[in-house]
Amino acid sequence: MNDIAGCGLGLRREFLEDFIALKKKPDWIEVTPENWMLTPYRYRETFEQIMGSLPVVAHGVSLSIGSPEAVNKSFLNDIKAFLDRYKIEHYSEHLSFSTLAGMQTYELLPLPMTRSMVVHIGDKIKQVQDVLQRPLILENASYYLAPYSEMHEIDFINEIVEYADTTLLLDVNNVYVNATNHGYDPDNYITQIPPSRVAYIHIAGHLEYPTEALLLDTHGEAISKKVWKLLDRTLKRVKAPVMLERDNNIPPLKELMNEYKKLSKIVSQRNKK
Amino acid sequence: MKTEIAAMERLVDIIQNNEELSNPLRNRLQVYRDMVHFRFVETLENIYPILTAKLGAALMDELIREFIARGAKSPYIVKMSQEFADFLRQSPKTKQYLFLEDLLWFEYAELDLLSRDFNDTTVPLELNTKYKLSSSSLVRNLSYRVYGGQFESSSASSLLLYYHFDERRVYFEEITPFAKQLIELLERMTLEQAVMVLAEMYELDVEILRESIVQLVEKWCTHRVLINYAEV
Repeated sequence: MNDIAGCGLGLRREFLEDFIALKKKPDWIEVTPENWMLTPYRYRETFEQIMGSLPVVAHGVSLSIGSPEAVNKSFLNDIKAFLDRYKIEHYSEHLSFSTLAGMQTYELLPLPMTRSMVVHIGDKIKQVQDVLQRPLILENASYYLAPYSEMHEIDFINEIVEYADTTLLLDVNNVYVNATNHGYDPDNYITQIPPSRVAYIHIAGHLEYPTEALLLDTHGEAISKKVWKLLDRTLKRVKAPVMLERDNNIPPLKELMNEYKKLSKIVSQRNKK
Repeated sequence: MKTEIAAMERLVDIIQNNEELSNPLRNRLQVYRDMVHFRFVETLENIYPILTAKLGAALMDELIREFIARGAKSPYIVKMSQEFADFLRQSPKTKQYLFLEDLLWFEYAELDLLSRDFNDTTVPLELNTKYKLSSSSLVRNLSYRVYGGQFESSSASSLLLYYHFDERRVYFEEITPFAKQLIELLERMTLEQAVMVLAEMYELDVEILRESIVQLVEKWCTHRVLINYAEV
């Protein structure tokens, strides 16, 4: 990801016009292809203006890499057409499944963490890369239960990345949420990830349910202090671009840019050291 | 992979159905069930707000849960709403809502136009030209005036929906049977020929009719409702 550096922001329709008017724009942006593939006329001009002016990473939500069935080639061809059209080289997706036997849930569901699944997903990643003609960057997803597991999450992820010889989108908020919900040490988790395998980092907000001792990865809140601190500690080990992700409860762009500035400050301070 | 697939199938089965959860993972399973349910409800109620109000929140929720249990196939969540529409058409619980078909079309049509890409350009008004509806326009005969809040008694009407390029939103207007007939004629003959046919059919003065039709077609051309037939 030589062309992607510094900090990025997820581009959302809610603030498209305001984004154009920004004097100081983010270093790069992330877009979800499924939201822009059939770009409606009313957004097209503005969207294309932005796409032509900044480095872009695509972050998908519907690939369902963990599904038992083969990859959906028609869907992948749509993704490829989008990536080609906007000359996007970097494409990331979630380590999860959302489709089973052709039926959609539209949610990122947890995978059984087993060695068979490592091979299954690793092979599918290769198929996806063959169609897209690009590497697939895999994101550690949040999960609230594991349907069946014989491995620790960190081993599961590391083995898939190694088997498929791909890179990781390290979501620091997801590490924090999972660590809290499943009772492990987030720093220890991050220490076990080979820094050279991290393509870029996500940071987002979550919601806390104290009565149920549960954190929900909502992407709809401001980033918590503990996640900011975990990011700071992560950046001591991992030198990678960082993206601010906000999908729900989207505030005015000005407010989001304040969070972006905070992120930018942390990243530049860490890069100086 | 048999064990893994069985575990995934069981998880999806629990999420899609509403059986009582009694095991120690009840709360965590409920999180996934709620997340999936919320995703469907949020999407469908946004696309069909009037339908949701007419059916009532309880029935809408019940139908959405049944639909989730049946399963959706489209990888694009917006297109899932069309599968839901088909599901509603088949459901015995909606049989009493005679306006259903019209309302499903009306509510989705706006989203449909807002989601489309358009390449049609504005065309000039010419008497010797054939015209056709552009990709930014829709015309439909309705049995219920659902756009006017009339759901109880049927009353036939024709509705024109078009994307307004300056205001970037969808306009809808009821058109007369005469205007609908004009649109249909313009696909088969030139504007001048359509004027002559309609003048004869309705026994109207050609000059007066031409003036009012030209005014109407000019407005439609300005808003890219009509394009040259050859362009389609």
